[in-house]
Amino acid sequence: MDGLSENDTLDAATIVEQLRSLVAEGRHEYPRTWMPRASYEDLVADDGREPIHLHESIHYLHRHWNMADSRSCKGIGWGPQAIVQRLLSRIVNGAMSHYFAEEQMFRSHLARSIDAIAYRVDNLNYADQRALLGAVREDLIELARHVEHRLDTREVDR
Amino acid sequence: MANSPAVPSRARLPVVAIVTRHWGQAANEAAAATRLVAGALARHADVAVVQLVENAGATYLDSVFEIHPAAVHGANPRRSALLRAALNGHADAAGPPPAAAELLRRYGGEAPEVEGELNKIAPDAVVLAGVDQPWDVSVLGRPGDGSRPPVLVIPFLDAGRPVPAEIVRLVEHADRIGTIHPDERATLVGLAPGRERDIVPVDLAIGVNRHATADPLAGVAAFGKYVLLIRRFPAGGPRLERSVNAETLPTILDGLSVAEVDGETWRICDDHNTAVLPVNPSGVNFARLVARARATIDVRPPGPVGTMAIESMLLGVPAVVPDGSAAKAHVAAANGGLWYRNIGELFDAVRVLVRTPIGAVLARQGRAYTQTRHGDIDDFVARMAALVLGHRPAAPPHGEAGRGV
Repeated sequence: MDGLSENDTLDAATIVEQLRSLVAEGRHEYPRTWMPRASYEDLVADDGREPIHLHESIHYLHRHWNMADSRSCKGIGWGPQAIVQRLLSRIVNGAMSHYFAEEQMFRSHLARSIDAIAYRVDNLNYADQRALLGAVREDLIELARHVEHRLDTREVDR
Repeated sequence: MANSPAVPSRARLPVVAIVTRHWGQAANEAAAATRLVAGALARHADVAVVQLVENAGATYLDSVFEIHPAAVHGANPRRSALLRAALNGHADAAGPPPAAAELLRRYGGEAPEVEGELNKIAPDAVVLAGVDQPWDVSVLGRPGDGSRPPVLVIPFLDAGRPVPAEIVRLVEHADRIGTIHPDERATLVGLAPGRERDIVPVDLAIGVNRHATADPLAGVAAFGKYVLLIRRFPAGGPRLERSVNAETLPTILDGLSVAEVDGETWRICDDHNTAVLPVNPSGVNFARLVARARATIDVRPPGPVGTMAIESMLLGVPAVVPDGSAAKAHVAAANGGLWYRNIGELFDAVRVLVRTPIGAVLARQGRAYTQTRHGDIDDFVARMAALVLGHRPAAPPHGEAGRGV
């Protein structure tokens, strides 16, 4: 931004998206509850429920399920301790390779399953609210009909 | 008379009929835009306006326009407004539920006299301004029907709102559809596939008094640099209660002042002082206030045209506008400002514009775009003549530029 000159060209949509992504990362400073107009979808998006798939522990799971690097302990340098570490590592990895492969596979399936469950729960969570708002909308239409009927009746009475 | 040299004989001008609810002094964008279109057409045609009103009266003259009031019977505008507000969240492409669409149609009333007025006017071209046309438009025929006058529809669709069901009926009978903002064009292209060539941007020309903008308003200079918050303009226009105002905004602007236009009350604030500006709340004074601002912030209910955003960009001032509005469509197309969904995004956008060089770049881009598309009134007049009358006149036959606008 510092190197920007007045002759450069900018895409406003990109700037808006970048500002929104900063907010999504949690670096916002202001209250963000006021909406420019009433909208049912906005109510869904702004009702304070945090989607489960955005939970911190699921992010941690995604970053750490693959532990292949931790298995290859190669030691540092050529001192006696490093040589012994490498030797032990080769023995343990050779003896336990089948177990480690199974466990790696298990972790990957576990991460995928938890992810899928989180998305499914989020979908159900919001589907429930969307259905509720749809019902409210239908009720409003029904109410409009009822009010119209009452107004017509009153007009006839007069 | 035939030998009188003082009155040159004039060939009969074509007659254009505009059928609309959007006419008169109401402070809404659609009425102002309809008048702009009528003014442009009046350079090359006699313009008659069939105005859809509650109580019809006699034909009268409004400037150069002949007004034919046509009564709308059985309309229930309040019920219609209530139901539309209830349906705001129903942003389906398919439109509102059938029961609601039927109710809306009934609340719109009927205007059977329009056909008679059009017969009286015998127009060479018809413009239907606004999607609210409670009369039998099928009497106009369809495109390609014999020698019927060409029909232009300017629907004034609100961006981000449900598309009214009536639009389909209007598009079927229109030769051309004029769009006010880029999102409206995208919506209509989706509704009428295969008719992309008939859907044409109107690109309204907005006149700005550049001489007047050279002088700042009295009392403003003492407050230094400022951003302009638009809560209501023109006076009598729509306004929403917002938590953001001229007193809360300076707290996040690090020494920048905030000018606020709220109908007839104009004021300017910094961290410690507030001054009410003793000015006539006119369009010229508004442009003078805009021209000196670092950015304009529009927190009014979104309108179907986005005039303020265009004016701000024409004056080289980046605009901050609500997302999902006509103004946002213009700002995004011009890359001349930023948009917000909530108060936090509004603050973020304003801070970026006033604290970084982004504001200057967006200002330049916005001005270049709007000067090309919205800054040339003569070009707008020629384009409207081509769009409605089917020809591009070489020179205007009468009047000075912008007659009647």
